[in-house]
Amino acid sequence: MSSLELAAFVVFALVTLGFSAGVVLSKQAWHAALSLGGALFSVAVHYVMLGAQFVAAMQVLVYVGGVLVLLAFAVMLTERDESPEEVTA
Amino acid sequence: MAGALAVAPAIPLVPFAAFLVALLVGHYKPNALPRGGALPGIAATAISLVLSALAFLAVSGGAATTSQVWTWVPAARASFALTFGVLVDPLSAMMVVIVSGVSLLVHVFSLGYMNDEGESGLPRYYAGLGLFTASMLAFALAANLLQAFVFFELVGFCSWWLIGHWFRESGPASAAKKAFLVTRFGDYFLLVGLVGVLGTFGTAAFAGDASFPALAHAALEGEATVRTFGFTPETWFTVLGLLILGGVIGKSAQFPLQTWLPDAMEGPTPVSALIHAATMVAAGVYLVARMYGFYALTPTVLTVIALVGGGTALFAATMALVKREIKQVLAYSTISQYGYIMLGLGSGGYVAGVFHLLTHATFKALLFLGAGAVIIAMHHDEDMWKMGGLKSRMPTVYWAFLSGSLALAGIVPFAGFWSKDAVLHRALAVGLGGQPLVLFAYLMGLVAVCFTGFYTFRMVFLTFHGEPRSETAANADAASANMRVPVAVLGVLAAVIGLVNVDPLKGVVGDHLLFLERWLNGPLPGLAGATAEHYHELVVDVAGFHAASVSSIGSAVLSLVFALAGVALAWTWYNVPEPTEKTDALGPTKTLLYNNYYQDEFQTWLAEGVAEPLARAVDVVDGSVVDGVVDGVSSTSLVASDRLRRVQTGVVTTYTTQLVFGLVVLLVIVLLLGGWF
Amino acid sequence: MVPLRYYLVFSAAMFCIGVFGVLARRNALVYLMSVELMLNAANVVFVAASAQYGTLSGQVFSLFTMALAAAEVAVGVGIVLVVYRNFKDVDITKPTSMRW
Repeated sequence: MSSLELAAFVVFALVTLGFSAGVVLSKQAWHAALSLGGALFSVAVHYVMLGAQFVAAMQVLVYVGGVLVLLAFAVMLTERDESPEEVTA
Repeated sequence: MAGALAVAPAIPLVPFAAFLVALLVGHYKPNALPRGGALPGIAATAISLVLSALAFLAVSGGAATTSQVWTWVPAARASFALTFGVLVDPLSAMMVVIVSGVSLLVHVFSLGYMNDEGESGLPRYYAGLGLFTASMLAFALAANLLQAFVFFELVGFCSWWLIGHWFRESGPASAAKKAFLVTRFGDYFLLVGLVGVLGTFGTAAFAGDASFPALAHAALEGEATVRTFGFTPETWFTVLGLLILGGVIGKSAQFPLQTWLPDAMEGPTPVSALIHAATMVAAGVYLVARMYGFYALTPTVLTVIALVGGGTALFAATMALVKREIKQVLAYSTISQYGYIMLGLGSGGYVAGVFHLLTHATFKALLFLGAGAVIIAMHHDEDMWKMGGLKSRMPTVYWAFLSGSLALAGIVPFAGFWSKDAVLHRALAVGLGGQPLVLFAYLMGLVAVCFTGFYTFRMVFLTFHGEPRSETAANADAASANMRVPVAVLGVLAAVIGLVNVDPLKGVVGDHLLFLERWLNGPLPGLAGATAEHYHELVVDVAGFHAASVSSIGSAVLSLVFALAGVALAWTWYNVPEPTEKTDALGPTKTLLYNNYYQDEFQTWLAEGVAEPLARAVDVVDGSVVDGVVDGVSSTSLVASDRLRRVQTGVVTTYTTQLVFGLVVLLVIVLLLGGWF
Repeated sequence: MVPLRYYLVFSAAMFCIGVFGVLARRNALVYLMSVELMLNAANVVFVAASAQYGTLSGQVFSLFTMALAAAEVAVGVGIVLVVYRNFKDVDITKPTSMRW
């Protein structure tokens, strides 16, 4: 086990955990969605490091391309607009 | 003559039609019913009598048959079929003649007793008589025990119906209920026995090669196997016989289930004559005679029958000694006389028992009808101490009644003498032949002969002799013709019918004069197993009842002396112009006898003091334990689910928390099992 | 090669973060995202184990998980939108009527 490999693992593990913490701690749903995107990407990096390139590709395609976009849409659709027009409408 | 047997099913059906006529026409168009339904009833019973006589003649020609009329439950799914049929043999042919004959006379008598007195509810009354006659005839002709049971219940129902004819008064209503319940109590045993017979033999047929008596005999001989449920055949057949005997004891008013019969006298007197003397009460002993081929196999049951019979004969006779009402005396005498029939059957004397059944039906119907005429003349006052001197007011009834009384007391040559002495002779012979219990039963029966003579003539003297002891008695009218005729007919019969079987003179006169015995002996080419000869062989060979050689004339003279002693005592005490009550001489026994040995009180105590607390205890157990468990289960789950549903808050976070909690618990368990801690 | 237990620790940490999000956040969308985190934590272990033991079955499992997650999110988002339309909010503690 090369120390470089271990270093990369630790770095990306910390990145992943950081983004994950961002998902659950951020006040805004939109920020959470962005953090989730980061976390998903860094998990894909882990997959590549484990030699599972196909899974990594799928991770990016399905999660980032599908799930995350869906969630982003939902976030935008459900965003509460605090503007006065909404109240009067 | 086979044609006469082919129409045998019509014998009960004709009175049934009369029942329907009386019931339906009486309900929808009462005025269209001639004489309240009496005429259809008379016509129907007359037709039945003719048909019965034809069947009787056919049987005397050697024709006897058992046939199946209707299959109630076919044998396809069960292991046995439930069927209804007709069994015509000497016994049943004789019985249907008795039943339809007495029923005809009672119908005629009722014209005087009910119609002329302007009683209400006549269609109901005659419908009851019709249904009773129909079911009794069907019972007599029953081809199997199931059918017998069905009609056994039906005559019990008719008994309830007719005892309670004056149901608006409390006495008849409660007497009807009592009669129904007490006989039903016995019938439970009969029902269990019936199920037992069906389960054991797969058939309940009375006669024929595949009948249950024949199968039982074969099983005892080891030639056939039947299901005996782990007992030896002897034991099991004894159990079955005793169970069926329960129904017999209830219906024939034997000890300890006899208490209903005296109360049943609350009903109209013709009903008492028909149902509670001549026929329905005979159903019990008739059932014993009907399945005699079975009882003859079990010496234990035979001994029990003899003991119950002898005991009841004496027991009931003592109670009859002190009664003041004429019908009460007759009621206890009926119980006592059926005791004699049981004694005869129980000691293996099939012919003797059946003979006494025949004569008793005649003379007791006569006595009841005579008493009915007296009661009408006395304007429904039954107290004998208010009668007296009626001999000159109603001579026809007196002479007929005297004939019946002589028959009842057993004075030669009246009917009762021949039959009662046949019974006693048989019991004595078997008793001396090595059956000490039967000998004991015989002694009880012998003492009862003395009592019978006494109470019978006490009744006669108090009613008809001496001076009138009340205004009503002094001005009594003679009975009307429609009451006199049946009484007279029966009076002649009571005098002569005993001559059909001059049993005590056996050996003196030729056997050809023993008509009844020859009649019952057959031979029957069709039904060899239903003859008295066959029964006699069974009693000797299987039950082991050997008769010692006892002079029949000696036995008859002995019991005649006893009877005459009783009559003589009654003569000296009561055949005086102004008789007085002598019962005080009995001391405390008098109270005991008046109260029928406190049997009613004892049975009431059994019900209230034992059965009721037991039922209450069971009710408490049922209410607390059984219901408690059931209710507890339901209320526990109700309360628990009421608490548990609060877990369901509807908030997703709560569910998630529970999910995570469950996960943690699972993890801990897995780790514990994996040995991590 | 990084030892499997490191991945296990990493995955457990990620899973716990997801659990925390599921328990603590009231926003339905963040809830869904936390679920995604937990699924990814599981996927990481699958793939790591697959690499460790030299078989592909772990990767196959992870692919199935992804398909499942995609479907789950599609349905979940639909539900969230309906909830939003009815309650004008995506707070998951608000819709409490689906109980006894």
